[in-house]
Amino acid sequence: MNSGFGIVLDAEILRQAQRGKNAAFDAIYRLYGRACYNLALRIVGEPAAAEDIVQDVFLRMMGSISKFRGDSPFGAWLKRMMVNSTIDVVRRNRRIDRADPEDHFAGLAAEGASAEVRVDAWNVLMRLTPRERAVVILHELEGYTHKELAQLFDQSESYSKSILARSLKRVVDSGQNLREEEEDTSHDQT
Amino acid sequence: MIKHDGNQAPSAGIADLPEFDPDPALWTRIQRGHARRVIRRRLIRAGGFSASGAVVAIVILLGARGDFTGPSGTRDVTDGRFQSQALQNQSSAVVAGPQNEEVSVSVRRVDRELQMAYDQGADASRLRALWALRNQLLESLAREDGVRGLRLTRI
Repeated sequence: MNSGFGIVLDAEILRQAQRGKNAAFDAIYRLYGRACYNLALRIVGEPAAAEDIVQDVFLRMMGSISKFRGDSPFGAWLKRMMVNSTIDVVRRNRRIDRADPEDHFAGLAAEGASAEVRVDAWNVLMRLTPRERAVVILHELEGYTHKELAQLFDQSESYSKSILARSLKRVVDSGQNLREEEEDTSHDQT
Repeated sequence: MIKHDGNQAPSAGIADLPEFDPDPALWTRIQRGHARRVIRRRLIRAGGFSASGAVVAIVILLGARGDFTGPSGTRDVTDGRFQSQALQNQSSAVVAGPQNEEVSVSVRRVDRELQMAYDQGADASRLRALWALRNQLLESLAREDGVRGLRLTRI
């Protein structure tokens, strides 16, 4: 999967971190900090909120790494902490988790395709709700199954499948619109 | 294209999502937060045991000098004191946490009662009970943090 969490942590860095060495924590942040930030940012959509999540997760990781036994790769352990914290924030924050998926998709459809002209995948993603983004990002980029997503959101598997299908359609359609428009523009210029 | 579960490539558009760098100051903030937590833990640990450690030291010192004025026939009480100090030394390696903080508060409470008991010339059974309670608390603290190799003899 396309994720910085797949980087293998050097065993010596892990040992040093478990002894509380700051240089080891620094190395871990340099290896995984960006992946953590982008995971949170893609879901919550706000840089400040994403940074708060990364800060919270790293502080907890630094406090609990001595108990990490290596049953799973360190990156997977850290990713699980990031995902759980991010979903917790989405659940807690009504301002971020603002729309019911059904209402939201209906609203997007009513706006029509013209509103999506010249917007890229990022902007389309940001127009989804955090829950929808979480389903897309976790399934598509972080390898979560629908079963895992269902457990994460306390919903049925069909819930995440439905959200994923409709969210991806928005992203893919907008990408095609953008490509077509770019092709039209280049033809006009020639 | 709708992707299903499995290790497939991400859907078009999603794979091309841009990546952003976090604020360069984020790591500095995390480091500061971590440093504050470490200091707080040390203070909790020091606060939790400095008072109780002082009581143990005074009692043992008095016992060694023969100034101990407790009731006669207090061999098991003395054992409890020495055991408590051994546990105290073990506990100095324990990492502080919310549960540990609760225990250290309880240890301080028992220490105050012990001090009062000695001041009032309490009998051996009272002292024995207090030292046993203190040892149990320290033992639970050590067990909580997985300190290994602890060998205790109940008093």
